[in-house]
Amino acid sequence: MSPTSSRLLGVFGLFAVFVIWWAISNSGWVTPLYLPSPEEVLLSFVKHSGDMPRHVGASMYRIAAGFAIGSSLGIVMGLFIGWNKVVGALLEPLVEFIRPMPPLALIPLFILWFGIGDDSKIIVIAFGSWVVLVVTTIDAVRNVDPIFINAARLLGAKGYSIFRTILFPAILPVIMGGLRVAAAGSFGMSVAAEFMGTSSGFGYLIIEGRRFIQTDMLLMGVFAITICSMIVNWLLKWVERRFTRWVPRK
Amino acid sequence: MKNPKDETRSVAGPLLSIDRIGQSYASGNGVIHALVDLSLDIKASEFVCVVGPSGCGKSTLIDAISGISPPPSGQIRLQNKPVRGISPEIGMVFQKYSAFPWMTVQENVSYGPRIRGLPAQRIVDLTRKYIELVGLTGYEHLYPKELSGGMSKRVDIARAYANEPSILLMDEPFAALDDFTRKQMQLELLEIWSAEKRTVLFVTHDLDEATFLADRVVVLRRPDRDTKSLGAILDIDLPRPRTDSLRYEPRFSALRQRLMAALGKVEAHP
Repeated sequence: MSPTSSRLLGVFGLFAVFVIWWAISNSGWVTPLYLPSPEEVLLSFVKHSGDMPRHVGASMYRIAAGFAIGSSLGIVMGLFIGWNKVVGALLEPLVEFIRPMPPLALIPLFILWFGIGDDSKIIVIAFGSWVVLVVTTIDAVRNVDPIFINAARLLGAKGYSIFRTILFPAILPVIMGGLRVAAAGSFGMSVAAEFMGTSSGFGYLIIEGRRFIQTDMLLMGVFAITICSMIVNWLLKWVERRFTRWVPRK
Repeated sequence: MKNPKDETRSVAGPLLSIDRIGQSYASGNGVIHALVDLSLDIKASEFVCVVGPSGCGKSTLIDAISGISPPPSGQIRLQNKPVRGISPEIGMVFQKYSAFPWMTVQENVSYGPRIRGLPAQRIVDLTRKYIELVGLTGYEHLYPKELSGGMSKRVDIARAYANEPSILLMDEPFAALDDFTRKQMQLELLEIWSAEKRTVLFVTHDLDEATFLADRVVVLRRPDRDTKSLGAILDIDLPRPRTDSLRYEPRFSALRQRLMAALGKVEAHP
């Protein structure tokens, strides 16, 4: 199948779901309370258009801050743990212990420690991103083929130059994959954290929609976060392709 | 092959001197002796091939000289200085493809000169020279994923040469190539070698390859506690430059046969 026809088929599949949704919600079988029609959700976007930037901004700030802090800490720690045997021996059991901890389970604790404001939300997102990146980076470092390290050393590379010219480029594609996983997770964690109490953000829109039984507003929140998450994923994918052109791709 | 210049060089002793090195590994049921009491001198500009049955320690020898895993006993001296660990004085072409996938052909070949901080113009000159010598001019900006096996190997060779080591170790570099490409690469390697006269130690399991390339062939045997590694050394007194037609000449077959016999002897009496 040609790429064009497979893309067309994909668009058709997506379109079909919206048509079915539209047909069911307009048939009168289900009350709008349970399933508002697509146009009602769209209208809700229009209705909240004045308010929307504030909510998008609030959530995106928490996500960006948490994701950036957590990912960079995760990468740096992963590099040390994966590269240095002593640091690895010291910290790896700790990472293995923290790794299965669901970040969402820690939200109440973080609220207790850091209050109900932005801090606790940023920290839970940072925690979740950190776990993904530290584990990904450790594996990536250990999977670098030693032939490249030996080849570089035989050509005169030492210490930091091996890191800069061999290790870092070799693990970059794996790290980019980890970043995309962490970014998608960050959106989920921001919503969960916002459910616990806030006056802005995607989570707020969703939880308020449920509280006032405005299902169109609830769905609007869901779609808003989905669209933002998609855009972020596209951006990261673009960056990935831009910086890892050398990777064999099918 | 004797001229006054060679004489003066030989006063300083061999380029590479391997003195009674040994290497062994612990295994489930005892100790595996990989190299036992191996001594070998290699002269400057010489092309030496190493052959032997599998498990005779060919790769162990390469790892020992390169410094990747220095031998616990014995000594290796390069230009009279003991080899202690990895050094850019010793170049290496691996059996596996080892061009850095994230670097273009040009970045790969210039890696050694760049990392050692040579002057910019020198880096450019060296890179251009060796890319041209291996016939990759025009492919400078391709990534290894875009190259064929033979081209990838050429990058490995050019990269090792561009770093200007005193000796080049080659660990079955052409083993993964098809027969035609392998023979082509052998010719090209000899061309570079005769232009540069840089010492090469070339490990192979292919007797044709060893006979075609070498000045001398070292036959290793599978050693034991009291069986030394060195089986035999054969001089290959075929004229140079060597061309493809040499492979069909009787004296080539005769030498190959002698090599086969030497190998058979070490296989029969391990």
